[in-house]
Amino acid sequence: MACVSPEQLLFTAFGLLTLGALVSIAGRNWRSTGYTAVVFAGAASVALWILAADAIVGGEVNTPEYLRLGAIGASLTFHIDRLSAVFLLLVPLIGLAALLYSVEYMNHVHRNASAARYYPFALLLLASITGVVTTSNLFYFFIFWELMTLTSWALVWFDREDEKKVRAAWQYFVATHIAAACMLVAILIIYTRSGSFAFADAAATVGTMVRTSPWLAHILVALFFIGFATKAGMFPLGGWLPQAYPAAPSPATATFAGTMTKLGIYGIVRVLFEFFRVPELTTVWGGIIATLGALSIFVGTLAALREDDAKRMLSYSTIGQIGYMLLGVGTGLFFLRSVPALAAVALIAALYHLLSHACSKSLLFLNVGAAEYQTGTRDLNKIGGLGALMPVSMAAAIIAGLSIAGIPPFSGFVSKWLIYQSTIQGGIRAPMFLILALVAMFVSLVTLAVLMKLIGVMFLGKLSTAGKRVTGDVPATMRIPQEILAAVCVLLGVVPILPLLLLYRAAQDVLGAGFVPAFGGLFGSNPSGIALNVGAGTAGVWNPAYTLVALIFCALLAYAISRSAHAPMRVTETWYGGEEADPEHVRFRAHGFVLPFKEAFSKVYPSVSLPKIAAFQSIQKVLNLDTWVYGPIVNAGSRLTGRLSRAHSGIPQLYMLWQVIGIIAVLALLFIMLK
Amino acid sequence: MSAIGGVLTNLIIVLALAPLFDGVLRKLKALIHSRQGPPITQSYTDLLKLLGKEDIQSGGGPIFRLAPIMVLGAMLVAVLFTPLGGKPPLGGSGDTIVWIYVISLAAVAIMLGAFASGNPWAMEGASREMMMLLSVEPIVIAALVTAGVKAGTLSMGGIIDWQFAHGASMSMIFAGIAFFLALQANLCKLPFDIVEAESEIVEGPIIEYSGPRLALYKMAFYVRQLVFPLVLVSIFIPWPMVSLYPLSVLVTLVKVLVVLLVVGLIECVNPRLRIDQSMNYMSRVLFVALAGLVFAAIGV
Repeated sequence: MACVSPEQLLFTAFGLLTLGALVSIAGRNWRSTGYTAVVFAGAASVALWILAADAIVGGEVNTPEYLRLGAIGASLTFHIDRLSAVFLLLVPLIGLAALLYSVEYMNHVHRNASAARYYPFALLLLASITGVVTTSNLFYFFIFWELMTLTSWALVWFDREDEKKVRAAWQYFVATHIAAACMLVAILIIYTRSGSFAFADAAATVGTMVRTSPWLAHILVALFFIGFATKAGMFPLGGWLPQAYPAAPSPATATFAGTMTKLGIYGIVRVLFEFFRVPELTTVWGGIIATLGALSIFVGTLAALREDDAKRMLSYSTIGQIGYMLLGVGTGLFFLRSVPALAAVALIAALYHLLSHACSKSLLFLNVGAAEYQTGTRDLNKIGGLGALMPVSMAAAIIAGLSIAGIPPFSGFVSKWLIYQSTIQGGIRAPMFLILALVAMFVSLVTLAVLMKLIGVMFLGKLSTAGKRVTGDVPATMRIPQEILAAVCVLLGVVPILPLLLLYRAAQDVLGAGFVPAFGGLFGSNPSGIALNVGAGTAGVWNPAYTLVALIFCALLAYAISRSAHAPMRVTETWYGGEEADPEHVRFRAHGFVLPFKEAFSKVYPSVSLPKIAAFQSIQKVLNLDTWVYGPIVNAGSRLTGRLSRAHSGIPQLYMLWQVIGIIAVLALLFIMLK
Repeated sequence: MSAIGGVLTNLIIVLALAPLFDGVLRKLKALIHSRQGPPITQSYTDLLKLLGKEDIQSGGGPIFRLAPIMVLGAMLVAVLFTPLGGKPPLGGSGDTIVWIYVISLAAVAIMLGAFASGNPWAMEGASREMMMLLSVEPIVIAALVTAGVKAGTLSMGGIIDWQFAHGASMSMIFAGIAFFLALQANLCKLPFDIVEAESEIVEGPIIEYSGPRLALYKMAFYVRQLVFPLVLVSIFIPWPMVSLYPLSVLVTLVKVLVVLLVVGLIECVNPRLRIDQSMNYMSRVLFVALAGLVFAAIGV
């Protein structure tokens, strides 16, 4: 694409999204506003995909400086390497799918609300995410990050009538801004040391900082990590996630789950692998991040099993899956100096899980939204048996669910297989990682239980009373995004070589071209599968193409066996033990699924169930950040704003009095300053 | 080419002999019960009878119809990843982790079929199947990861080569004992046949299936009865080492028979455990497996 320059593409995308947001503000009708937004977002997505293709094929893309603020040394530069290109491919896909889905969904479920409260923010959210992943200047990175937080908060706050949802939005606001404050402090420390906000200068600054004041470097990493991990939703900083995600409309939740949590991982990879690449920092923080990742996996998924509300269940599951990505990133950081091949594989595994999870988790949120669209409820105890009437949603849900659970041959299996392999190979060299690998593999089964509960109860079985009013499947504009995302999940699983090549180039860009061994040496030379080799011989093999052929062959063999005697077929009623029973009375409730297992692991999150030792009690209290950090801040904020709101009494004379006092105060201040 | 030959050999041997091993177990049970018992070819005739019986469907859509096919299909693919007298035929396409997850695919198909049938007993059976999976799989995973850590690779062929080259070691003995203790639950035999508890939930997940689909389930269970002991004897007890392939297959099958006889003996003298009792037992076996892993980590 030599005719159009990258910055033109980027600014076209920004311009289209902003223009679309402005046009949507004037929207009256849900459908028309929705289609307009989809058109604008579609055009912007095409521009971003062309830009990503440019970066992937042609190498890293740098743009000239814009908006130069010379006094503080900040200028808007964009640097699109292949890691950014991966996100530029993923984010428009998820965003466009969610926008197309929301046309009919919002029209039906939120028909009493105004379209101008949803579409502008959704489009601006996509624009700010694009800005976050492309910019290479810390000042503008923070500005785009804040924009992203504010637009997503506006979407969480969408349903202003519900008291609980407003509280959830407030909690989200406080949590993400505490995280952003930590990031701002870290950015400012780097600025004072290096005098500029550019990414390139930060790496050199940290290098000198480690020699002169290493504790400051550790504090910087901690601040950045807190900032990004809160956004990603890692335990124990992710307490806002199960409150905020169910409060937002389903397509918005799908966008959040598919893009925003992944930006936390993007930030960690970008900052820690590029700025903080010194051995003292990477080994320590690699171990910490991997352990926190394993903890997140364990707590998040077990808490998901406890839930009966479909969206809360998926939100806790997101906390768990983010743990897998952090486990991969942590393993990569830990072995960055000692075994570079292993570090590269771990990083690629984490990024592959990011891609796979983004597609499948947002698809699941869209499925739950479809069930909510049809029946009006999200409670798994009340929904049942929708599969017969909604076959497309059921098929998509099964594909997404099995993909998240990591069952071959879907996409989640490839990424989880890579994560297991890298942690076990790491465990051979550093035994701590064996425990983390075991936790990851055990909780993968718990994830399967969570998804079985969700899919089995919601789509399979007998139709519940809530489902009796369902007449057919959801409209086409809600089906098409689900089909597209399901196809991507299947493709990522069956043809892993293409995403692997892309992520390998991205890892090369992040780690440095000479750092990583050749692709054939790492992943084998068979294009249909993976033969992993981190330097000590073949570590493991997985060939989805041959396995799929074998599976189809064996399934056909089984079918042939079953039809070999041409047995007659007869349809009859379900057998309830010889009694006549109303299906609604004997329907298996979601709450009973794996109930003894749940009781064995009861009260896992937010409070960990530990033996009653005093020290553990206080650790338990400390880990519950909701009660002593976020809760009091949220309450104090509510009380303060309540008091301030009393100034809006509605009496014009009082307002004029405030204005006069204000003018006098400002004049006095100017007088003192200029004297 | 040799891979396809290996595939066909594994499939033919397992499909032909799985009902025979089940017949031997039924004969053993009868002898312990002091009765004559069925002939050892009875399982073949049972399957043939079921294939011709009426296929009764109670709704449930395509998932209901597809589930038995996927269960047997996934178990047969697991057979292709299982070593039988040598390296597994598809060993270049999948390693131990793939083997574990293909078996989980079969379990997923059982659960989906159970949910699709819409019978509350089937759904209770699916719930129990999930809990058994949750309590037993960690032991299998820990044992096989121990083997992988010792061998430095997770591919089955590599582990078997390493075992031949290095002989017995403390960690592999512990892992083998843990795998054997979990074998009873993996094969869903008493005292761990909670999933198909006849007197409690009337065959559980397969309650609504009849005729040829029931035959597919039964065949899948017979195949599962062979696959787990095959992995146990090939990876943890690979001695005596025989280089001639047909002789090696014969030796492996004899070892599997011995293992299955022990399993059958335990089955005959035990009552059924409750699900929470079995989860307790499995957590204790997990300690044995973790001990093996710790020994592997310190290099013993």
